[in-house]
Amino acid sequence: MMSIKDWVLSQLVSNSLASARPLSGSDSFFEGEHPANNFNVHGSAQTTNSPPPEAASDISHPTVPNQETSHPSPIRQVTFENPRQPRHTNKEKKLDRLANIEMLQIKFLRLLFRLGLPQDDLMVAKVLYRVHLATLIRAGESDLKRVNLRSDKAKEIAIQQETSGVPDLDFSFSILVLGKTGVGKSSTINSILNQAKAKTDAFQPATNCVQKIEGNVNGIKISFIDTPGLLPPSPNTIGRNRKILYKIKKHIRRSPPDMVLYFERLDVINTNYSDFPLLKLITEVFGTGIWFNTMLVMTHSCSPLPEGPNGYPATYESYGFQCTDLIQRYIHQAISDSKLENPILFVENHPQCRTNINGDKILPDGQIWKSQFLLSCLCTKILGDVNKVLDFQDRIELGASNTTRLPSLPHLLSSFLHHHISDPNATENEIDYISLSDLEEEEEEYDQLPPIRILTKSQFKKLSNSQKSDYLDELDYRETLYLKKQLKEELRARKEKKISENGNFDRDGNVDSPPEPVLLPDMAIPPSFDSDNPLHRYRCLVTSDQWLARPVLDPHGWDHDVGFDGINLESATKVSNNLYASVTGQISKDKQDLNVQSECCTTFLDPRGPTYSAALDVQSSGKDLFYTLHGNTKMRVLERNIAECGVSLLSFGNNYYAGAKLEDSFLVGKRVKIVVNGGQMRGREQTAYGGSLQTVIRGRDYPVRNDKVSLTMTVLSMNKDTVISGNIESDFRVGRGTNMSINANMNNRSMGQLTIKTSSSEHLEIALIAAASVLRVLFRRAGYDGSTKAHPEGDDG
Amino acid sequence: MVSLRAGGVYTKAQLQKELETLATCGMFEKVDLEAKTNPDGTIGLTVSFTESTWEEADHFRCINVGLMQQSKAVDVEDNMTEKEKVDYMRSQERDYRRRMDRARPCMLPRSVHSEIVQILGQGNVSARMLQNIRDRVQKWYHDEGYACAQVVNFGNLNTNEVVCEVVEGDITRVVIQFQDKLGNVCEGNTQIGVVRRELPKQLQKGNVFNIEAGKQALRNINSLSLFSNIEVNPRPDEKNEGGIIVEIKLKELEQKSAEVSTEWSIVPGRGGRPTLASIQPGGTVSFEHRNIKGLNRSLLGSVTTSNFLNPQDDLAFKLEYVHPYLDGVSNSRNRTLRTSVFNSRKLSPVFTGGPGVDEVPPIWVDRAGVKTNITENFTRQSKFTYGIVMEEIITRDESSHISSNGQRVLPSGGISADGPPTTLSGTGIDRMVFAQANITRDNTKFVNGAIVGERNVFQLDQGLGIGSKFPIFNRHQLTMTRFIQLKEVEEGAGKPPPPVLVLHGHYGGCVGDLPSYDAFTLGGPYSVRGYNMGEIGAARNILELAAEIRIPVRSTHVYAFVEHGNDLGSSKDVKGNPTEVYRRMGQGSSYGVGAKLGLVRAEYAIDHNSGTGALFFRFGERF
Repeated sequence: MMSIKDWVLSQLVSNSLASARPLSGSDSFFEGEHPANNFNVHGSAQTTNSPPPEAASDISHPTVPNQETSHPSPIRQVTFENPRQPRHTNKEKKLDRLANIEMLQIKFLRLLFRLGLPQDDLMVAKVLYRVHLATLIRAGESDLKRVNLRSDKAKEIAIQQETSGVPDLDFSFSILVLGKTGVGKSSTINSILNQAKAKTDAFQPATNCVQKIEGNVNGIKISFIDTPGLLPPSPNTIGRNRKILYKIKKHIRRSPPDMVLYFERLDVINTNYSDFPLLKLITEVFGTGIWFNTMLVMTHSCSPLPEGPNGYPATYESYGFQCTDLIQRYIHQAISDSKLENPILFVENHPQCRTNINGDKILPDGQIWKSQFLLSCLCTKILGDVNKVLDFQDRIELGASNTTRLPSLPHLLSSFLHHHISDPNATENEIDYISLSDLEEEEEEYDQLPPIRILTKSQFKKLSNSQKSDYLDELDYRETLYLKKQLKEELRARKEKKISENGNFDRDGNVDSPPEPVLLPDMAIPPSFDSDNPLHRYRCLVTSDQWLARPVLDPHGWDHDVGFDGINLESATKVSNNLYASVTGQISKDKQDLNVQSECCTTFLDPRGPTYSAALDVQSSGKDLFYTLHGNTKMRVLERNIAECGVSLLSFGNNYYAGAKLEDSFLVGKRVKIVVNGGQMRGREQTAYGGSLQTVIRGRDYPVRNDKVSLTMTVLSMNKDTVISGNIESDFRVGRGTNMSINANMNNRSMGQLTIKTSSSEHLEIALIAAASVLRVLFRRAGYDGSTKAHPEGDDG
Repeated sequence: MVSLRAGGVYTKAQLQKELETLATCGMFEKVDLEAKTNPDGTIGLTVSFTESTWEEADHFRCINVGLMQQSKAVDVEDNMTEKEKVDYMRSQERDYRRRMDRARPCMLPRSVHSEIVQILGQGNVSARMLQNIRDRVQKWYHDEGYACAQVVNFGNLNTNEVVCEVVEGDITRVVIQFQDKLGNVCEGNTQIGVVRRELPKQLQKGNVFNIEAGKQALRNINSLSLFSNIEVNPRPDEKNEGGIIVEIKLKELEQKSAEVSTEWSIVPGRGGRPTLASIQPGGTVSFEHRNIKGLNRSLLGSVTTSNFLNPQDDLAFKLEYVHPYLDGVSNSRNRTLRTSVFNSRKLSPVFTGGPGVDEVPPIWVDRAGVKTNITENFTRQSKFTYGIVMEEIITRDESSHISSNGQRVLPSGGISADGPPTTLSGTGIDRMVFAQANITRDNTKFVNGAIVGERNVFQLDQGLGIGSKFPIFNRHQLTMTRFIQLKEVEEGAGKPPPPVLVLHGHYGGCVGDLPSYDAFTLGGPYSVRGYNMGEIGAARNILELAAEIRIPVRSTHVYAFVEHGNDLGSSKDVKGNPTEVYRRMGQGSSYGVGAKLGLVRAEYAIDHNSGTGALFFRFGERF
């Protein structure tokens, strides 16, 4: 696959290897100016040795053309050339193509004769070689012999046909001209056609609308699409330029041109080349594909050259090279792909341009530019047609698209294993729910406690230290029991509500009158040094809206701006009795960028037991979007066991990944929960397997106090490469009002992380850690510039 | 009124009781209960009664008898002589007149009054009529939110004038109570004055209890964010008949909290053995101490870094001290002192490109410093803030090296650092002290969810000549916004909002030294929509004009807007002319349409400079 792409690109790409190759019989000028037509040594070595096996498979998967400047359909030519040859099988199709190529080759050579161009020109040789190469790739082994034989004969046939004039040469191409106003687009057309077909004016824009100009040069029909000149780019003209380009686009939609000429004046280019916005705009309007068949045309090539850096006029060659290099670089920037090389043509339309003895206008270096012009057009056209016939055209992708990273399969799998469709219904963790219902059976301890007298502050102060701590411990113990009691009551209420709902859900017509809107308290916004106080922007009324919107803060947003960059939306509804739907998402949309992360999910609670849910996640990554479709079924198999199975389908660009998993969770005793799952993920002809085992041991006072220890073991395997990782997580209370959470994970590659979180409502001293870092910074600054800034000593309170 | 129901089983005592209640309720002269045994063993009950009626009356009076002794009807003794009886009646009448005189007038408006006079005109005053009157009066009270109002008696019957005695529910006491986590009453940490000043006037002692005032109090107290649970309950006063005690129960939040989160990475070390990447942890430390001294003073701070012991540029810190009630808790003047020390790292909108130029290397503006100000609240929305700012500004390039000039991408692909200077000092580091003020007059309000009113803001930054290069400057901004209601609408829950026309103008000007990071930028969601931040330019003086029309659709609205921003030709007065260097126009207009969903705006805006449109999602209002 890649080798083909490489090869095709080599049609236009020059690499250093090629240009370093000694070329006999060619002048140095062409080497510099037409690097596009250099041999790609690498490509030839690879392809001549063995045609890549992918070629065959590629043919069986024709892709949809995605280029905007598509060529006239090759089918027409095919039927014209070979009317009697029906095409049925794949092989015949191939042969047919070869015949086509042959015809094109012959045609090309005939045209060269007609134009009086030398057949042994380097460019011609290159074109022929390239056609040959392309044919080899496509031909397949069985046809190799034929291909090799054939190419030698082509020349003979061409000479023979041209002298006899049979069959009639039918060759035409269309050219779109683009460029700034006044660079000489119409003049060039006139020069080529040798007659003043297009109106020109040296001082003001002469072409006002898109027009087609047809002409005939030595029997070749050339049709130019002359366009109004673009205005020099500036913020004011961008709108008008866009309009012009859209007009052109509309015009060429009907008859796509074979090639595009982008005009620029050689004499006015400077290093502060300011036309980049124009190139960008052209790319934006026509797509990157337009540059693929574009030749750069430098007009006013005979003008006096500007002075070089050393004070002498620069040499013609170096100056030309410098300018074209500049434009090329900007084109690369515009399409963000530096592999493209556009052929370059030099043109002079001035009536007093130097001529040679035959009356042909020549450039300062003695080149007859018109014949070069025609030759280049011819080569481009022929190569374009060959590509078209051989189906190469569609495989070329310009731009930075191939730099997007593909997601790694194990990563996808591990996130899939951990993914649980967020349940809009409250009974999400049914296994937890079961353990909660265990609670209910416990006796009401709180009510059996003896009454306690709450001490006032002064009374509390009088207590001795041990008494104090006893008192606080007692309060703490009571609080735990109190919370337990509250939880039980809540559970009971929920159950009752459920029962009553089931009893009479047809009496739902009781619509409340809309609640009175209440002004929300002002939102907290991050501090800033501005005098601005933009609180009023976020004032709003509480509504009974189902949508919950929150801002997403970007702490590194714009200066003098709050930095609320995105929006977080949440909504959950009960569609019908057992069907719930929810949407959560985060979106930020700027002028160019779109960032989406959203999840839509529906859940169906079958009254008989299982819960079915489906979710669609959309996530943006660069310019592409990930789509993930999840399906899940949850079922209570036994009293304390819940089984779950899920499937997932992920699509990213043209890649699809599919996965499936099984999960089972069960309770052992009252405080131990075990979750086992396993799954596999497949995509891009690779498969990853994985599974995990999780054990959670809960504290005595769960769920009031969230003490727990959880051990997880995960195994992921792909391509005989296995990663085993373990995770230990523990939440516990250190004392009254102080909680700690330790999380450590580690895998068999010796990578891991250790996190300790401590939160306390009693011991504020732990925040003193921060003082260390602040002091450290202060000391360093003091040493660094000798001036201590006014800064509070302890950043901790 | 009869509480007996068909199909029920009642004892004789119950029936007796029922009869008694009916007879003593004062509505009937005579009540009979007749029982008839049916063949199937059930009993059919017939209640026959004669309604009490009094003489016709054509006047009506309503008095507030709250906090007064209830009139006690002394039974006429049978053994009284005729004269005694007359005397007694007279004295009673006198008493009643005195009582009427002492009673306070009640709030019943004229309209309801005349409505009741109409009811009276229907004929003899009957019990049923009185009940109607009672219902009407109570309905008015309850509609107005006086939930504790009650008609307790009708007096002066059999005369020309019916007197309706109402207990309106006067507040005799406001009790503020604290509860601990278990719901026991305890001593609170918060000073009572802090809570008391949040109570609306209508909820003070001596006023009539209104449920709306109660809700208002709830909201006000909630906005202190000191309590986890707030209850405002009216309770009848046992000692003072007809009085109401307002009980406010508060559960305090935890005063202090601290959180430390540390993190170590484990990497393969020597011999492939897992080791800690660095013994020095990174993470976040944050702490809060709220409600210091029970006066709602608070101190909050947080530090985030990837290495606590040797913090680098990624250190982010914030420390804030808020001291409300600067003039004392009991003083009605509401001034708050706020001091904060913090840093921020943000992108400069000055160093961005114009349309088509999107390859401008960004400049980060690091600010760190102290800001102290005093805010005086006139109303909830109108404020006056003044204070001092000491800050250090460091400008950095993409790779966080200090850079003194903006960067440009050269045609050759290289980057040259010869753009406009980023700081005043020219070194990339500026320090300065300046005074700051902001006065906001905001009388906008919500009419059925649409903002109506006007808002004027004047902002001022005054350089004091302290800092790098001794900067003296005056930067001033005036923002005026009018929300004009285009149609009168009835206010109320669920009613549609009115269409509104918004006119907005913003002028910003600067005299004196102007570093580029403080130049006004044009373009962006709060400047000229449809452009990126700073896409139009960065200038010394700016003018922004905007108009927006909002058409209500269901409960929300759609809108169309036109905006224009102009640098008034002052871009060249910014050092290095960043507007020109990055190919920006210095002025621009835009127009577009949008829809509002809660606080989310979705809008399509077309910028007039490049003629392209884009869809934007934003949080919050533009104006």
